[in-house]
Amino acid sequence: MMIGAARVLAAAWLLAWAGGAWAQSVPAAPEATSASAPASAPPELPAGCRAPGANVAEPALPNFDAALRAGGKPVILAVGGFAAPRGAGGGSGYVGLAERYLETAVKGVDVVVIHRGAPGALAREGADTIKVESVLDGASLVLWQVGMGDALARMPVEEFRATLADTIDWLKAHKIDVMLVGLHYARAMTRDAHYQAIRRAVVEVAEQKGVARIRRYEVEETLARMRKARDAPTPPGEADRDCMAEWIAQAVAVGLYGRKPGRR
Amino acid sequence: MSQSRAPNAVDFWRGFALVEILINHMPGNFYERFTHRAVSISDSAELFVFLAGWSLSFVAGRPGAPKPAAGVLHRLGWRSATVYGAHVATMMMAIALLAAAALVFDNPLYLEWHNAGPVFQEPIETHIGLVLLSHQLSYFNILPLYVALLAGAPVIALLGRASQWGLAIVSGGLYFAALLTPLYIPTWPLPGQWFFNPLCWQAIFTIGFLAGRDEGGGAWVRRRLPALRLIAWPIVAASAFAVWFDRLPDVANVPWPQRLFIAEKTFLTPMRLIQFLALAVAVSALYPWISRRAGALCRSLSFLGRHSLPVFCAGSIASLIGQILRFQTGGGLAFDTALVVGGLGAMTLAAWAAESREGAA
Repeated sequence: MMIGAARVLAAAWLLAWAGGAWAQSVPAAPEATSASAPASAPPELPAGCRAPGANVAEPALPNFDAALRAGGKPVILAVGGFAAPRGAGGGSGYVGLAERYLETAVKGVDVVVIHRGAPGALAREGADTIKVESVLDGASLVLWQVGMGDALARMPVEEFRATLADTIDWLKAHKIDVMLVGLHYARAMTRDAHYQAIRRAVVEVAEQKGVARIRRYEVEETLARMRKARDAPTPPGEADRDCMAEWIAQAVAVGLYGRKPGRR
Repeated sequence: MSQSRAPNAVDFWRGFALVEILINHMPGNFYERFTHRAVSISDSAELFVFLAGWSLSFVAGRPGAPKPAAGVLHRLGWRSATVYGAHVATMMMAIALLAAAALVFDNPLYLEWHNAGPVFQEPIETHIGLVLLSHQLSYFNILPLYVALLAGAPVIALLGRASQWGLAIVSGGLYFAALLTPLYIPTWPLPGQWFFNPLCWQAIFTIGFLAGRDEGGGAWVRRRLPALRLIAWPIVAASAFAVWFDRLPDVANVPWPQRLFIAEKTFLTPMRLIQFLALAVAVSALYPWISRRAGALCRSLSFLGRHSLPVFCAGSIASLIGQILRFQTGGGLAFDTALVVGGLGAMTLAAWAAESREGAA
């Protein structure tokens, strides 16, 4: 039971960190403090961040779970731009905060997060990085922010789709979990056929391959519509990213806590 | 007008590399498939750094007439500062371009492109990183490598003059230590590592220096090029096959230490290094043929290569503009052609301006 609880807590931390690190800002909001509350209670969302109706797929992380159960330091390879500047204090960005939270909430767990690859890299470049670094670093989970570079470079959609699918197959064959983060929502891109095609490719490949996908585009779009409906001003980018980080972390944590132990 | 040097192989191939860099820095464009990267494990980055090392051999002076050490130090230090200044200026122009594109096209995605996000989101730390070279934009990360190599160039030049074997041992030792440990230069404020690891890339810079010397290993190789090509061409052909048919080794299936058996750009793994050297030996016979039969091409590329720093900076900005325009318009053969022609025009203009300035000096 303790091991099962540790796995749930670790998975919740993982996705809370993923949302926070993806937001790319140093957390100073009270929500960050609430994330360190007892892990059995998902953190409360600020009112302005609540985005009902956007579902989150349940992630399946059997290899990461196995690595946690085996002890040692499970390695998460983050590819494609999840890092946040560490801040003047050093180690106080999302990465440091998430690691400290995990080590506090789950005694004895020590997770290593390795960042490789620049934001906006093409899928083919990310794939090369993943195939080398995941093995050399002993990663049990790859968090891959993918699609933006290919959308901006107008890469052929089928080529992108094939690279994404082949890389996921490679990771599965090498017993490494993967979680995808797709494209940003931007009003200017809602009618861009190629951008939407790349976005759909990420969605479809994730569904076909049964891998977790953080629904960044859908959540951002929902929040944008909610703000427009309230005639609320568009918040600065940092506030929006904080909301996104909180929503993703909370939604996935709720999804995890609602699952039966051992279910995949 | 000063007497600029005549077209030569070094300037020619440097110009060739610069044109390829322009094209490859607009990913997805039609002409990308015609650069040698399509059939080669190595690319124009290796060529560029190798030729930079070759040029260093001239700075050090000929074996019988070595330049004074103080003069070598002064010239290389000044060159390093010049390259650093060019890099900072080019990078700020790139950042401004992305910001302008975000405003003009009302699209905040531009602000996240090419690792520029922290510049706008976390400006305090990131601007420090930009100045320290610890934060680099994508496609603008070879000049920081060049700055680092030039900072170490006095050691290479002076040690290489005293003992080529000593230099080879030191350079090789550092290369393998960085490869196997692994050692790397960290980025800041974002966690990560330099895209081009200077501790490894100094090896090809040093090999270029040694190859350019009129004595020792470089001279030995140049005297035996016809025989060495018999070894080089099969390597080139095999690597072309592996790249074309995606048959490069899977890192999970090679023994430890894996980096000795895979192709990886950041650490300039031996597979990339050996393939590049084989390619250099194989195509070294081409320049005399080109200079006789395609004089205009030879003169044009040599002209670009003669002024590599301003041409590279112009090409980098032109390729970023090209990327922005491709995104806004969707690209296509005609548009990609116009972008490449426009980029070549910008590079030629930069070379002309540099040559005119030298003439006026």
